[in-house]
Amino acid sequence: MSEIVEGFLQAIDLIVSLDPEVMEITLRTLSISLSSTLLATAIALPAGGLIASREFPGKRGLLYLIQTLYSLPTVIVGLLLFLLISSSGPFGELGLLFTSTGMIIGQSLLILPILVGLTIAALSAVDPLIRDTLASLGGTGRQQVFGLLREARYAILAAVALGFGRAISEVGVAIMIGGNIRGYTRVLTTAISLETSMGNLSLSIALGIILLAIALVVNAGVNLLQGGGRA
Amino acid sequence: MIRCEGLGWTPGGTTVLDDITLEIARGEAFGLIGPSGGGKSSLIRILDLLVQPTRGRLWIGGDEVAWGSPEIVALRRRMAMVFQRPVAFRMNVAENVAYGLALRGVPRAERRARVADALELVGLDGFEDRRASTLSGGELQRVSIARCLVTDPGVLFLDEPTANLDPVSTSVIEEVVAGLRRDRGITVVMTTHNLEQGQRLCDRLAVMAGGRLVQVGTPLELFYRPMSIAVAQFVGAENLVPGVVEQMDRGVAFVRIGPQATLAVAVHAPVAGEVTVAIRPEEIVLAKGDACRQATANHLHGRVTAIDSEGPLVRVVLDCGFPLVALIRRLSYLQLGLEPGTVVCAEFDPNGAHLIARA
Repeated sequence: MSEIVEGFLQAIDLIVSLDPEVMEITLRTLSISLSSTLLATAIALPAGGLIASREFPGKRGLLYLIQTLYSLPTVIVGLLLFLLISSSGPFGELGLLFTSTGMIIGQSLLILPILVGLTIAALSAVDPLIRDTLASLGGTGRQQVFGLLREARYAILAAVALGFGRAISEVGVAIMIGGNIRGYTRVLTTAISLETSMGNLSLSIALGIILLAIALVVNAGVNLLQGGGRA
Repeated sequence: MIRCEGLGWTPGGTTVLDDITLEIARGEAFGLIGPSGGGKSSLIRILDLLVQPTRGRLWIGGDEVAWGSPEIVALRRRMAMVFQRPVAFRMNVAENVAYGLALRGVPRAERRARVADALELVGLDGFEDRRASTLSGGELQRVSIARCLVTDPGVLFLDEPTANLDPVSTSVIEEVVAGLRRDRGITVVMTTHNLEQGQRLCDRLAVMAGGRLVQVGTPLELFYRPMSIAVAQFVGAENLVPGVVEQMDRGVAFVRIGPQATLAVAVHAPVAGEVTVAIRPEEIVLAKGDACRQATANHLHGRVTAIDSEGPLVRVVLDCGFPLVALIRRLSYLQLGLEPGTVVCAEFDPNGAHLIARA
């Protein structure tokens, strides 16, 4: 018990004193997860808009598949991507294995289903009369999709936050694709996993507190924006 | 301006519209009236190019509509539509009104001036920075109208624009619509289930029922010369008395409606055979007892069976061997001292009734 309390106190010290290693890991984590969230969002918005605004055979099946992939295990994404980008894989020449770029791609793939699925759900929740109004006002197909995305912006923002939360908290892709290389691909989750196994509890706890704090800030930000949107 | 031929819409095999052929002139105010579910809203949505019909052809401003082509957007931009339930984008009022201009790439400075003009037209000047979600239903509907007018459309469609609004908002909207036609010569096509509104705002009305156009004409034609029992009922010619034409004499048909009763009805063309006499309740004058006043009028003797208030008027139901409804002024009602059982004489002029041929 005292070990935990001591670890906790040391953790506070590491954070308050802006320990270089802790800061470095934190910034890298933010950079990778934000990049993957941005990449996935850039793909998910047009894709979700397209799927939501069209009727086509197999749409129901596609939605079902997307929803199933919400709970895609991170290690499966890691494994698939590993097979693709390892030196013997089809994209091996790109040299993405054990790089932060590889991690960004992996995390994007991981959260893409959530972002696409929740974008479709957000668009479906928009009043159908808004769609008619957009068409009647003379919007082109693209303008109509953009207008709908704009109407659904708060729900989409929540989806993006959820995607970011999943990206920043996952371990599987980070460790299998990134390799947890110190000063290069080490992020909060992989560092916690390694330091705990090595008995450095205080460092682990410090990194854990930071991870939770990031989640808290993101959530509070989303809530603030959504509250402003309702007024 | 708008012409359609044989339009039909059968989504999922259900016939919603059938064989609609009509022509609406530039600058005309055209109303679609009729009971709910008659196809009014579906037709107006097709005319605004929001729904593709299953059959038939449609011309807007002389060009035939090529469904599925990119030209549809350009055609839509020449028109605008106000929906029954007002919706606003999650923005402030100015941004809502400017939306159509933004879609057309109008520069921001020009947008601002045009938005101010449009808001003034609907009596919402100064509302620019209000969030749309804080407006009342009536204000929101006026924002929708401003959003349409700001693009200077050649045709304005209104789908039951005042159906759920308070009387004040309704009259503001009616004034705006009437002013548009007067000052800008905009073609207006509206649906309404409110006859008086149709009469106030429209040059011509089309009665729709069961997905078909039942009758098209000026409001007066519909009110006083309904061509079918369905139209007569809808336009308020409540008294529909079956009879047989016995003889014609100088523009008057004499219709036997019972063993002893014959009615004289003015007609524009010779008629014969079985007919229905349509009499508007407000055309009937009541006198107490047997003392009928006008020798030239039709007289029907009966007994009062029911009395109801209808706004400033009183609705009196008589039993003349068949039920007959009269709508009289409250003062007349009080002077006559009517009560259930009172014997009265109901009179109406031959010009106050209309004959509907029975198929």
